[in-house]
Amino acid sequence: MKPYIFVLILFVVVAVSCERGLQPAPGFQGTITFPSDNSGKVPWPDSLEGAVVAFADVSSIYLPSITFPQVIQNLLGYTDPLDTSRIEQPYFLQAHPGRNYIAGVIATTVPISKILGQPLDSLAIHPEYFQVLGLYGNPDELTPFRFISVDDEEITPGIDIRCDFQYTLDF
Amino acid sequence: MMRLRTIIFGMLLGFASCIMASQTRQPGTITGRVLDETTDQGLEGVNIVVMGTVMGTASGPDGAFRIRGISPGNYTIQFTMIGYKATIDTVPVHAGEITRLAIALEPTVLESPQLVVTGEKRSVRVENSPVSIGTIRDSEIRLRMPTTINEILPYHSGVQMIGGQINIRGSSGYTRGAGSRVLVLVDGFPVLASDNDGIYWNAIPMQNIRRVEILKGAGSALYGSNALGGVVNVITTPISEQPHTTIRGQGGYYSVPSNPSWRWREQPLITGMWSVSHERQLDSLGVRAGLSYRSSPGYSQNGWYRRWNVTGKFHLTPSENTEWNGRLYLVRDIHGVVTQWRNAHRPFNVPLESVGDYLTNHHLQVALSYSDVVSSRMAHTWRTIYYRKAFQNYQHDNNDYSVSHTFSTEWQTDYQATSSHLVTAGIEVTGDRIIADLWGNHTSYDVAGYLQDEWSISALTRLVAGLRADLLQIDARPVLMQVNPKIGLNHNLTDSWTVRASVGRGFRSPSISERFTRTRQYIFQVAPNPDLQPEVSWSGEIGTHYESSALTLDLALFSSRYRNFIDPLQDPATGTISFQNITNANIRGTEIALEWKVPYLPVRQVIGYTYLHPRDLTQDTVLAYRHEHSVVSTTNILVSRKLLCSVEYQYRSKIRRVQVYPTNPATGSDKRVPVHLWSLHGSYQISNHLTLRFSAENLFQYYYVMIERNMGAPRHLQLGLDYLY
Repeated sequence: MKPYIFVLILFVVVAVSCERGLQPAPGFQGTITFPSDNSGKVPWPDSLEGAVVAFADVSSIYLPSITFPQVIQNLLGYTDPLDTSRIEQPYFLQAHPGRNYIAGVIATTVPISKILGQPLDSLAIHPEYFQVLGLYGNPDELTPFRFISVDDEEITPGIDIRCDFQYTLDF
Repeated sequence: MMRLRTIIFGMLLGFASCIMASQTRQPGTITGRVLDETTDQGLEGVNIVVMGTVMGTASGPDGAFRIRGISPGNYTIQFTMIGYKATIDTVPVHAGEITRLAIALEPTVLESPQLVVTGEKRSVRVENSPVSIGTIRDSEIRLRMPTTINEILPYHSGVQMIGGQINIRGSSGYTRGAGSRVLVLVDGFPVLASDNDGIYWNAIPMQNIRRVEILKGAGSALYGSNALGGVVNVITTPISEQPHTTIRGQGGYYSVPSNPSWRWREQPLITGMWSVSHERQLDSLGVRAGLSYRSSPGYSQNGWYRRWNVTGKFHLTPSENTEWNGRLYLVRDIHGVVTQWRNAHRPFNVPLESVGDYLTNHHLQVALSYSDVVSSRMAHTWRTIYYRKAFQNYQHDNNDYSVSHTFSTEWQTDYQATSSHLVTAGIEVTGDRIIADLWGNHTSYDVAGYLQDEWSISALTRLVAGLRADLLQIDARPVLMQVNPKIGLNHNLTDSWTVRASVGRGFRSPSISERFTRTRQYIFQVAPNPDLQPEVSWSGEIGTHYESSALTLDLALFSSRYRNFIDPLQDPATGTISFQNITNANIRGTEIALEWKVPYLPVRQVIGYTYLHPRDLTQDTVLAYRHEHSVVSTTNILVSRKLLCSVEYQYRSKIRRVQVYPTNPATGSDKRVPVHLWSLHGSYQISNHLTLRFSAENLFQYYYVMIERNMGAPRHLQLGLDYLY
């Protein structure tokens, strides 16, 4: 075999075999914005230990009568703890395509290491551990949240959430 | 405390009386040169053993060797080297005279290793060892152009590297570097840092390595704590008889992912290294000095490092039967800290708050050894090492520091009691002093004695039995005693076929960091547990080794039963993590290694397969961070006399269990995949002094994680030049 043919074959083999294994994951991303005080810092309350972005699959819930406990029971996952010293920060959540999700920022009243690693359904029985700081949606809309959908192998951008330490849930 | 100090004093008195017992002798010397039969070039690293005695040496870079202090008589000398047929010569030695030899070794088709020292603290042919010992030779190391020695270890069957932690036959999982279950030695000196018993791979010299030996199985009967799952012994080259200078330089870059969101930096990821080393003989004193620098931006954010090494070695022969060896190693290392990725969308970025986190490391190792061949039947060796390690964190959430001082001294006597019994006995004293805010200030002692008998039952059968007792104390806590026996048998069924069996006990004393750490890492609060108990194991193995001119086959069945495994455990009530004796475990498995030459082609292949069945008996589940199936393959192709190419492949089955972030099937996050890594290495000899090297690690840019949320390295292409004169 001529050397250049060997090199050509090697090049083709390398080219077609590259970048296997883990692949970019579908999901959604956006920016979290915490409120800031006059000095430009986040006025993080002492009662809260940390916060994560959590999301729930609401595809199977009858939406006109949706309740927050139902959302909690359908939690799928959450991000790593947010940096509580930053006013703005990006986030990403991996999610399967073809479902409807809602996402929000949830703060915890207990050390966040106590929450991480716990089965999600066990968290639903401790609502006192959580305080919602904001949901993805438009405050001017009739519903307090907006659905998020993910296309095949795509990342849905622009799922921005603005937080408020006095946020109140109305569903 | 007083009791231990009394024991230490008694031992030192014993050393002194042994030295005083040395008598004036009129010995002879054997000197000469070992050459390649086909090229007439001097061969470096040939193992030379005076049979039936405790004496031996290795040839220098030009093939020259010298063995002093041999009592007059007729001796059989054995010359062995990887890739060459073992040769035996019988020579007379006369009082006060020098016997000169010129030996030519015949190259063989296969390059299976022949002599190892780690299993019994003296040279033994690998097929005669009752335990599994693997070797990686210097040419293999240079061909792969690694940054640190841990990068080449996974190419060896039975060895896995998980997050920088070595795992021999499944003994270790992943504990963020705390408490290694494998002991690492450099020229027989332990180099584990005493504060966390962790292995700092960047504190192991990469220049002038002759070979790496890997003892698979419990080695505590000779080496004490940490040798629970095995021992890695890095053996450096002897100092050349002729002036010798080596200059090496290499540069490379990491490939960037094609997906833009996976790129963490726009600039190219250029890596580089250079090293200079010079050695020469000044009468009876041989000296070597070296300097090296390595830098890399890393393949992920915060993965950068800058590393300076200074090495020194000396060899002094003040008399015919005594010699001194010394080693100095200085490392200054600054590197970024990668705890985990930012998220699956940005897997090569670190969390925002961690950007800019880094730490500094300083290592100083000073080692000294003295050996005295009292007679052809008795030799003493004294080794001592001082190891200082200091680190300082500069991280967003902590500025922890630790300084550890380890002083260890050991006396070893080899005594050929009869023609069939060779006894090795020794005592070892180790003291540690740790000053740290991370785990507090502590002092610890380990006083140990060991005894081993190699009994040649017949010309075909060898039995090795040994025992080591360790007395350990931390601060003013009660003294703890550990006794670790071992026994092994090796039998030659034919000239080319041997069988072996061994069983031994191992232990590991909890490290200072596992007992006393109080810190915050990422979001986790870590609490101390001063009452941790040592973890212990019983390991057994049966194996067989077959070697012919075209094929070498080694098969081993092994089983280890662990008690009081130390693992980090999270308290569900508080979320706090502490180390606990939580698990009893059983690890069984099989290892097969085959080396063969493809008929009619200049191609040699080594294939290794390891199967592990690692069970956590407490939770009745699989142990975390173990690959159950591993295949490693190396195919060497001698394209021409000057061009050698090597294609390597590693397969690791998907890790079935992790501890922190299991796969979430509802979202697909934290997915794990099997590992398929292909690498291509080569060397082209431009002239007698100049060699060009090239390397492509992870040739196909395969993406994988071994520990959660930490991407493996992408393709790394390197080009290097070696200049030797």
